[in-house]
Amino acid sequence: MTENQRNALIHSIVAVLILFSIAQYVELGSGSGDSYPRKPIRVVVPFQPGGGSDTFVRIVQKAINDNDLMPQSLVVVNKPGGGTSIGSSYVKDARPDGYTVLCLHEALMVAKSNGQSPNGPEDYEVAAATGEFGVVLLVSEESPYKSLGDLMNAAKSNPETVTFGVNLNTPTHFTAIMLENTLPGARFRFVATGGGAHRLAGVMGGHLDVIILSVGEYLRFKQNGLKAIAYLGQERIASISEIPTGEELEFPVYSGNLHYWWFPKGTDATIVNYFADVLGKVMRTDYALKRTEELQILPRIIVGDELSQRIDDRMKRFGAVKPEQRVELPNFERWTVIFVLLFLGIVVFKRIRNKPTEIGAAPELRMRYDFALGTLLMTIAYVLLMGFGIVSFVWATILYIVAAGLFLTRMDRSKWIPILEVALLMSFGLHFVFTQLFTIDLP
Amino acid sequence: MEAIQTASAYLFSPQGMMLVALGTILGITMGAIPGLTGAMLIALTLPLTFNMDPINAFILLISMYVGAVSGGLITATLLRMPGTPASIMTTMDGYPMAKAGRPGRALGLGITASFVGGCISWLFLITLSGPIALYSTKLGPFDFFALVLLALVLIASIGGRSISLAFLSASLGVLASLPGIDKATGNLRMTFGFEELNGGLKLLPMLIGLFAISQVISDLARLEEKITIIPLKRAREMLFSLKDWKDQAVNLVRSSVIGTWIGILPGIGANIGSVSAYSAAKSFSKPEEQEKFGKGSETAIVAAESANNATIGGALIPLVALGIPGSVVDAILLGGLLIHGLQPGPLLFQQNPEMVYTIMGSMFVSNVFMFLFMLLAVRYIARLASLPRSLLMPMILVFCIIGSFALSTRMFDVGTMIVFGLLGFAFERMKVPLAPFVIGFILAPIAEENLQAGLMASNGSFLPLIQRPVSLIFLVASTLLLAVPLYKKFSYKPS
Repeated sequence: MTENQRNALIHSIVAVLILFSIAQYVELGSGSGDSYPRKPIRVVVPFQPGGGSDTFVRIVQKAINDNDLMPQSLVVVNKPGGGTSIGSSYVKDARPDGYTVLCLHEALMVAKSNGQSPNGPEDYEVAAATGEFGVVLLVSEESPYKSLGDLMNAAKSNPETVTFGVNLNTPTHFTAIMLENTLPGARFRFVATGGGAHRLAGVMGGHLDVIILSVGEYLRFKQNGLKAIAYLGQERIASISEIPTGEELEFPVYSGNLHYWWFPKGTDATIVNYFADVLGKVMRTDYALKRTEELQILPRIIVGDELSQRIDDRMKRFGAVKPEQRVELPNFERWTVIFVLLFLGIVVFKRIRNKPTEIGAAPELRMRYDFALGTLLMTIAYVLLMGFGIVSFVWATILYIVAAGLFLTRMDRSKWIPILEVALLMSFGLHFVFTQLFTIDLP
Repeated sequence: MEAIQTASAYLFSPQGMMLVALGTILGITMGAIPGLTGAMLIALTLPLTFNMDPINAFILLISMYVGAVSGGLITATLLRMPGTPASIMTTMDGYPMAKAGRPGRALGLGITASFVGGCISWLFLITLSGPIALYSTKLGPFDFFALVLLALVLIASIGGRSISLAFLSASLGVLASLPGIDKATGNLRMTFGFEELNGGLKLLPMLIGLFAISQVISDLARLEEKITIIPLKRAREMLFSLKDWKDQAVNLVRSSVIGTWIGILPGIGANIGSVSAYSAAKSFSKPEEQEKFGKGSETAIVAAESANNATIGGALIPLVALGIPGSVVDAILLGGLLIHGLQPGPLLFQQNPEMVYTIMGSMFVSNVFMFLFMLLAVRYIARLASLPRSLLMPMILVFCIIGSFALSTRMFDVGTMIVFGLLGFAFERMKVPLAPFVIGFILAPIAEENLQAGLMASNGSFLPLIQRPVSLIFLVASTLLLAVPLYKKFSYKPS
């Protein structure tokens, strides 16, 4: 192949790719039908993929698809971080058109109660609460605490010696504090251990005395040498019928949790009700029944007045729990600032002392800061245009690449066609890759 | 035995091989593009596998995992744009080597090292997963803290000429890691009222800013300068020669073992594996090789790339043996097992041995495929570096912007990226090394979290740090590693 032929081949491949992505983009603009839902509904899960919430949502997703419960499917979007507040803020600020919904359990209420997140139930229209999962208290098989009674008495006679692994300021921590409150004088030593995997490793390795895990997790991991001492639900459940409830043992703590579905405030009531209906059907499908049973989730669904009552009740309970810091910990912020200043001082001191050698450095080639500065300003303008929603991704990108390309090639005519090709490929092409192949919204 | 047969029947069928190829290539592509991570690819593929046979589904997912960790080295080497955080240490030496006109050599080293790292960790996975996984739970928060401290102290050895500049850079990195939720109290700190800061500064936008954006700025300033790329004459140049194998053997094994070990520990990912192996490789190198670190050292590329691929096998160990995920990707895989109706945990080996062998087998086969595919494709990929820069720069910028945006679909991360781009540029002009900044940023939260957890468990006492044998060993090692370079520096008076 000659150079020319090869160039022609590359240009035609590029042209095909561009035409394909433009076609996709145009098609996307023309929606079909006019009743809700006309397009896939995005379910925001404020955790990493793979966790309990994520798995549950994916089961709902599959149940809807397999049984044609809705003309469109669900798309799972994971937005972890900020103690669930990144995901919950995203949905709060989303357009209330019924195409964005948050699936989050009672962590939303806990995060609101302790000020970790500004978003509470009042910022959303709640559709339903689905899939109840209970939790158990776990100790190691070799633990000296054979029962909940042993554990609570130890926490009372030697306060703050029994180590309790929790994720601070989340439902596990609140549940543990509620457990303390059932026996005046009992106090645990709380250890911040993060997620379920860390807690599990902690109790297996003997670093923690007691942890909380969901029933599903317990059944999966009990072969690792774990023992449940109480189930924190209202009544015993079949799969672990040998485990007494906290209430039977006279430490009445109830910590059932459900996955709530929150739409942005102002979402039309018919949409919210329609979605709640679909969820009701989901919970009755064979697939969901089978999977939830395997995961030890009760296929329950709560809607309407019962739901708002439950939310009020839970908010009151969480509001009454006041977590406190019990161990004096080093102030990392202060130490870090001290170290920064210390090293800055040393560096400045050395620079002043060694000044002559610094100047002796070889002069660099002629630098074109005009190119750098110009492109940087264009980039910032490009980001701002999209950030404030003035221009959409596709058009902003075309504009940006053409402008930057012309600027950097100094209007060299021979580069016009490549610049245009790159601009079209990056705009329509990436739009296709990100929104069609992946489900990432572009600005 | 029967289970091994079942697993290999699936894996070596035409369909199985197709899935390996598809998964690995997609993984490599996603790994190479910043913002599209392996975790994202696997999470998005998971629903598509619902209707597949679970064994086929896992062949695909594991291949994606292997590909994604490997693909990052391409953009890291050619464009100084770390496609995934795991390839951050590769940018340090791969890019200078590529810029010096040897992109093929740099990629070749990375690819072979990735392959070897994958194989060594795979050996650990198939032989010792049970005992290793159990032992790893014996390590408590204080041991983790001492381990991370050791890695932090290694900054002294990788920072370049000036130890004080390295520590300044590291402490600024630690400072940047503080905003967000304090893990030990659950309270917000240093967010200055910005709700967007509740989740802290994100690693990937910061990395892209520090390395890619700052590089774009300085490249733009030198747009008129000509760079010459020496084309690959023969494919053989990319392969390890006998001498390479001899020179790098110890380095390969050491880095892979470090990578595997780091991979096993939950919550400590591929990026830290590669940081630790890089630092160790530098400490163990001869002084003349140490000089080359950060300027295109072969030893450095080999260390970084073998370690990050070794974390794959490492992270699969607790997943297979105990059902505890060693990394984010493993957490998704665990979710995948559940959705397919399998019960991960210690019983997986008894109830679904064919799945365990599938996971092990696919990791190996995909590793081999990755090696062959990347070697074949590298000649074409390396051409990227010869595109006209006036066109390449805006393209890179667009990629960086949507890459940062796509992580949580918010413009705040794009802003973070641009600010760190300017900061990175300023750092380089002022000769402040970037590597310690990143290491401080990545390691400090883990050190802090574990120290706090340890202190909460010991009721505020630091004593367990020297009472526990493991943490004591790490502490002594860190003290030595800190003292030796300082001693050398001050006892050694150049004329």
